[in-house]
Amino acid sequence: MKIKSDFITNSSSTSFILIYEDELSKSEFLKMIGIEEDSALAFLFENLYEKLWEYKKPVYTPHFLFNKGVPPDELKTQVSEALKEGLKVFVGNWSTEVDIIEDFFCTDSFEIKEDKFYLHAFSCYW
Amino acid sequence: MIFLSKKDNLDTYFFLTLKKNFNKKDFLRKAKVKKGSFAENLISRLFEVLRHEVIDINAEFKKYYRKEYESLQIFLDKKYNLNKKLTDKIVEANNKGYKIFLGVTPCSGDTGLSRMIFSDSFLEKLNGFLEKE
Repeated sequence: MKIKSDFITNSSSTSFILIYEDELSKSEFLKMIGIEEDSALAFLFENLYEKLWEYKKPVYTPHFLFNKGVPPDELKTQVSEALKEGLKVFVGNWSTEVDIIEDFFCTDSFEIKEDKFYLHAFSCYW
Repeated sequence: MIFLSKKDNLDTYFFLTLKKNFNKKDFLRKAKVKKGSFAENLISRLFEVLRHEVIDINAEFKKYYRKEYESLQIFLDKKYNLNKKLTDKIVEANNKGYKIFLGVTPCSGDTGLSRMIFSDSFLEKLNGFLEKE
């Protein structure tokens, strides 16, 4: 039997879609999202990179989006076009059970749009 | 620096010490983020959580409590029930000319970010960042 004290909440998970052209190193990722590597707060974004690269799974057709919840049409179009253009498309999941930084990115709602790079982390569609 | 002290069963006080006139612009510069970037946006939010509904504790003391308590240290001890170690640190920062802000966490607003910031592991790194000259 396990006894847990303090606040007890249920866990949650959410999904993300990651699209890019070329493989990115951690340094390139930090530069792209706008923080210098020697910043004392870079660890937050390094964690984001590590979790994205650890959890991402490649997809080769846009069909994964079509029977899952109600993703907006623009997102379906964007994924379809990215695949047609030969960009790499990945999906993955974050959980609130791993560590506090992943918990934050899991429950936050955001996107990162750069040239040939897109991270969609809004609603959970599957 | 950020110091935590239990308020009651649900909430925790946090005391934030910042150099006088240190503002969001300075915070972003110190964080080495690029203007208009994703990182800048997130670090801005982080700063806003730290400054959300906080009070300037020394101004509060001077304006309302000076007659009641003979010093800032006694005020912090009696009104907020802080231990001596913590009041010493706050008074020391105040004597060095730092601004002392008092807030309560979990705060309303950006709750997910607030939960992360005030976690032990994150706070340790954030304090390392704030301490850096």
